[in-house]
Amino acid sequence: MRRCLEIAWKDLRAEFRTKQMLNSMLLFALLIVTIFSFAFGPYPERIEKLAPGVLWVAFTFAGMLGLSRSFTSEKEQGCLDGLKLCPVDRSAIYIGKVVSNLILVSIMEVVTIPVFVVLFDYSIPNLGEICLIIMPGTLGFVFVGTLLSALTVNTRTREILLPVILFPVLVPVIVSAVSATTKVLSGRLNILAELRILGTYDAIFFIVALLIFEYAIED
Amino acid sequence: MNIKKILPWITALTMIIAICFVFHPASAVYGPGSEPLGNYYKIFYFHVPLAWVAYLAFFVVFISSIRYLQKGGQKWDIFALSSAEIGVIFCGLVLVTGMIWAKATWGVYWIWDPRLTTSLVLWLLYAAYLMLRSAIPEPERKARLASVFGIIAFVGAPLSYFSIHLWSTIHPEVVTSGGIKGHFIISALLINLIAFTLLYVYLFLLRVEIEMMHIDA
Repeated sequence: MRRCLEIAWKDLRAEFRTKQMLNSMLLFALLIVTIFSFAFGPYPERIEKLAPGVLWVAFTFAGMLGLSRSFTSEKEQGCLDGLKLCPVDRSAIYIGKVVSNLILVSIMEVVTIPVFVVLFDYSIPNLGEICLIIMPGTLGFVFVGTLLSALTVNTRTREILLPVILFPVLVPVIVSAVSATTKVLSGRLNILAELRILGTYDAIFFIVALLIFEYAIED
Repeated sequence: MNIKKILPWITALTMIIAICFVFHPASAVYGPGSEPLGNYYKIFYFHVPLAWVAYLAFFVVFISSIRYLQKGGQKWDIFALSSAEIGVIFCGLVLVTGMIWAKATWGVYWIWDPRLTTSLVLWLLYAAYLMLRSAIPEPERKARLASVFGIIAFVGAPLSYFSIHLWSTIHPEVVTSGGIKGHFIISALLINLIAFTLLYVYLFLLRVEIEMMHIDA
């Protein structure tokens, strides 16, 4: 476990020196929210219908940018081989990467929500429940995203390929997260069914990823 | 060796019998109040077997991917590739026949029903699988990474079905709700299932053979 955290810590330290990935993720999330507010006009009616879609599209698209860099930056400097030479289990590398990606994506989400609130002039009700949905949703996104990011790092067209193979796998996360967010924003709090699916998804993909991650980065 | 020569003929014969069954007047399907549902309903004799073959093909991809990661061996990768290609085509046909049927029954080509959406997601998943394969030039790495994705794709599919189930469904539960009555209709459906499964096996063997020739060449 300590080794996982050390890998995560290494990633975060490298990231906070340049802030290259974090800045582009934040800027992209901001752009998505802005473009949506242009697309829907300045004062859209029934904003609570649009909000879940806008938020989750911003989260997943901007998160994708971060995920695709997560292994590419290692690859460019030849660090991936170094990382694989470390006397740690391959699953430790996976967990470390998950932790660092999780922190970066969470920072992006924490910044995006206020931006959304300001630009759409919409105060989010039941913020606690929203966080309750965002947490397992982000976990699922990062679990699968990190695994597929490792998978695509050795392919020719990795920047295009990652979204193409990641989004179909993410359908359950997006569907249940958006459905739960819609319910909460309109004041209905019976989101147990959605949370159950998100929890199952997270558990299944975490275990599957631990089992097959080593095949994804082996060379 | 013999089976390879006979199989296309058996498949063709079963297919012809199956089609005769479908166009036989006795295979008309009746609704809950035993009113005849019209001839367009007969598309379900193709729709259901196509869906079954698509699921079967994707299951074969899953099993072959696991075997490849466990044991290695190029043949498992070839099995996975062949099955994925056939599965994508059959899944595409499921979507097309489903849309034709939906237009005739519900008046729209597409609704966001769990089964329709799951079929679409399946199609996207395995189209992505083929994309992934085409993006990796080295055969060994291609086989390994594709196997990893083949497992992920199959694990994700039931979850998308359940997540979309949160929305309501209007897709008929033909088989479970007892909408199919009468020996003729059941045997017509069964013979279609057999015919399409044979077609799958035939195409699969053919595709594997072609890929083997590629390697030998």
